[in-house]
Amino acid sequence: MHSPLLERISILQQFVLIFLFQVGSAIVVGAGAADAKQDLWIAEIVACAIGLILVVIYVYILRLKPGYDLYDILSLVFGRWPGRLLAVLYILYFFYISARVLRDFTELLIIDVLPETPLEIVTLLFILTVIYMVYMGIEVLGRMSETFVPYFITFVLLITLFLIFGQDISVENLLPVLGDGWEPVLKVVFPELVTFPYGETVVLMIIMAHTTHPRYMPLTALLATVLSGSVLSYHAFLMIAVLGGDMVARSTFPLLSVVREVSIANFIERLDALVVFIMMVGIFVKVSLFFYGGLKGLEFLTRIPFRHFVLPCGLMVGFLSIIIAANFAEHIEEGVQIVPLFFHVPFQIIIPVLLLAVLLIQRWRQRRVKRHGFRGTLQKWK
Amino acid sequence: MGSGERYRSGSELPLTGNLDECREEMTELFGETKDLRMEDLQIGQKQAMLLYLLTITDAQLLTERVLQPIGRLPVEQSVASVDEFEQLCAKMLGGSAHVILHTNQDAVQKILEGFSVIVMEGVSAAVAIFTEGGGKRGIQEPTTQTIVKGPKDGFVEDLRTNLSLLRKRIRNHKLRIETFTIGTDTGTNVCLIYMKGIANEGIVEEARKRLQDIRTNAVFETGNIEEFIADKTITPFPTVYSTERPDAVSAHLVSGKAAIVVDGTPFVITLPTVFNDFMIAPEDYYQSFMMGSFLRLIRYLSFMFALMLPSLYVSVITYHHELIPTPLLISVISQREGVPFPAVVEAFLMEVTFEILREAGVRMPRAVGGTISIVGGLVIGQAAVEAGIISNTMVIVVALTAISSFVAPYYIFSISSRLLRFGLIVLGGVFGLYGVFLGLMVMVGHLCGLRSFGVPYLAPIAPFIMKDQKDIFIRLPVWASKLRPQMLKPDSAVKQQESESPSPPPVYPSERRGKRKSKGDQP
Repeated sequence: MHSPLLERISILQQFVLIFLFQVGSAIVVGAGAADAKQDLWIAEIVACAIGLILVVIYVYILRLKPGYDLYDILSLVFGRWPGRLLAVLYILYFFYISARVLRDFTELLIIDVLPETPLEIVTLLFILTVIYMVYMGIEVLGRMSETFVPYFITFVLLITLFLIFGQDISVENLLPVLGDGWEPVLKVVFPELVTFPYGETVVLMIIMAHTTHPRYMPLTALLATVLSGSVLSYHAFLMIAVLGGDMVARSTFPLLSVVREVSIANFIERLDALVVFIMMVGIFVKVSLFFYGGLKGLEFLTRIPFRHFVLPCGLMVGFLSIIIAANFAEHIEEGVQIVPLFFHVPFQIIIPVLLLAVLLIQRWRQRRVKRHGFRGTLQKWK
Repeated sequence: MGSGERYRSGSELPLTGNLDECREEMTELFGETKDLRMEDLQIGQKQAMLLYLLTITDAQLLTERVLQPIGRLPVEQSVASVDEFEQLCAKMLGGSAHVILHTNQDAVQKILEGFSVIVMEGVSAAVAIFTEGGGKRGIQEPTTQTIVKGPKDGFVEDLRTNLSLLRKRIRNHKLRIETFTIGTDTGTNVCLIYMKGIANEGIVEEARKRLQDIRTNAVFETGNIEEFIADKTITPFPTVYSTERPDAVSAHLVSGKAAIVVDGTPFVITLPTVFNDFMIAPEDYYQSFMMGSFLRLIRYLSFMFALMLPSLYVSVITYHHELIPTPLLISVISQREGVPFPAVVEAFLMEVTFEILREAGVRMPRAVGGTISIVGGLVIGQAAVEAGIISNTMVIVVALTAISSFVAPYYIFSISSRLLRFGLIVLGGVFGLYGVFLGLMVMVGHLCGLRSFGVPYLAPIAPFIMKDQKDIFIRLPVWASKLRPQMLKPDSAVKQQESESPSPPPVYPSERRGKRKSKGDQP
């Protein structure tokens, strides 16, 4: 079932990949601000807590069947053909989300940084880079994230520092805390914030199955989720403190609006163009991982090494990200209203929970067999 | 001497002990070549023949090691069998590195390596005595990697001298030297050197295998075998480190690397090599660790400059004006006012000009070197600006880039930044910062995918190895790092277990009181 040249990533790489994956586009898009307003940071904390439960489910499934990835487990649990059908659905889902994440970023680019450049060109360039990287394999992607993550974190910290020095932060913006009660907060939390970065971790079930130290894999995944949850929440806190709840709710890319406020000695200012590229690393990891997840599915179905599919499927994902929506408003509307409910919830929650339930029942039965002994029946069969 | 499998001339036949036959065979192989001497000798009662190549033989050595011992033999000495011959050789030539040969082929090989070969009538064996001589350069200071403080000797073209430089630095029985003969036309001696028990056995085995698998006709320089043994040749980054400095090679050897010395070149390669090796100068270890660390950071910065500065300038000036503070922007734009080209073209013009200047400077005879600086610096630089073709800022950018690219302690490494710079300029000119950053990502991805003898090229950074960080971006004091580089997976990981800071251990109050009582000499 596994090729001898199975690629494995180290624990640190797994940590970095999960972190960049979860923070990746969530930090840019600023989902959920419209309803939660100044309580967005609380919503992020709650979402992270619920997200942790999801991650625990994914990790638990993998621990129950060590050495098998999502696709293997699907066909182990549901049988050969239903498993394959589900695998096809997952592949389509992964490719689609990959295209969506890509569109998130390309829209950001052409709105903020390269207004005269056509969307197609920007997309093509990005997807070609993704194709190259995924072709090199998951190990290389892991090492690349390891190289870039210090820059990522440094920039997040630097922005805070700049904002503090520039006296842009006013904590009064956070008041009133829970002014409208828990209702708007919880409304944002599920399904939007839970599914958007945390539930998407389902695609990592493909790479987390093959790490160098499977024993530490669950802990790493949870720690990475906690870290990205705190970064996202802290980040929401920062956005609200600088811009105020209403501004955050109205802004398309709140992070950029925040960075635009930075001005130190009339020398360090208008850093938003720079920040876009730092955030690009996260987006890049996210697009690549979803893309890789889909490719691994094709490998699982066809038994052909995934590298054969990289170029055609990559171009397809790029094309898909362009035709997915006529404009940014449509894209966001789909993202808020259709995708979470019809795609995220079944693929991220319902199927994994089912998987876990079946696996647990199986294990329970096996244990019972062990305890009470079916030796007599077994011998009869022989 | 090791494996000469590929280099084979002469018949596989054993030596017969017939002098005429031997002479015929040699004449057939070497033809009418002037420098092959076949001299008749009388050893005791027996007729013998001495064969050597005059051009690569040291006359004094020949006299001392061959002719004088033979002259001292008693006249009645007679040899009939191979065993007796071997005994005689051991007695007569003891201490002068002689080898007993049994086939014609070996004899030819030894003659070509500078040995003198004696064949004896009626004995089906021969003896080779090392008498190599010929033109040699004395040990001098290396020209490519100069140093202010530290050892000044450099490798030379002679293999044995180079090996002796290493042996003298590492007086350890674990130092192993293996010889290979490579090149069907040149039959060059190539040595693989490593520390047994320190270097990873797997890496050494891999190097050995790759050396044995080389199928080439000629080897003149380590560069010739570099391309055969490197993991990937389609990359602008060097995947083996080659240096003229014996101290650098010794340091690499004791840290668990292997080295390859090729006869005929002063450059020795060490492997496996990672990216960071090229940012480390031997001098870092010879001066204060603070200065060493600072210089290392400067080197990383300059590598970044050399790689990205022109492309960043081009993309910012073309697409992202808002990133430049307004007063600076105004002055830069006003300078560019009269310039008829877009920034990309301007950058390209200047970079290409600089590359031409640099190449001219390297190839030109020393005597006319000064002309280059005058023509290059004054005529092209200043005149271009005054004529309004190039903006001043661009000249500054190109100059800074150029100087940064010279900072690399390893000249060959700047090749990568020189080549990639042009690609990045194009990307910056067409897609702005977006293009530059994507280009960098591809570059980093490529670097992450590279391996040198199984060791990932970006090793202690990606994959991240905490234990190796004491000697990467900054160099901690020598006593602080107790382990050899873990990325090389050395067979013995610890290099200095008990090294401690030389500062005295903290004195606790109770102890101090005790001391004061006993010594009573403290105020």
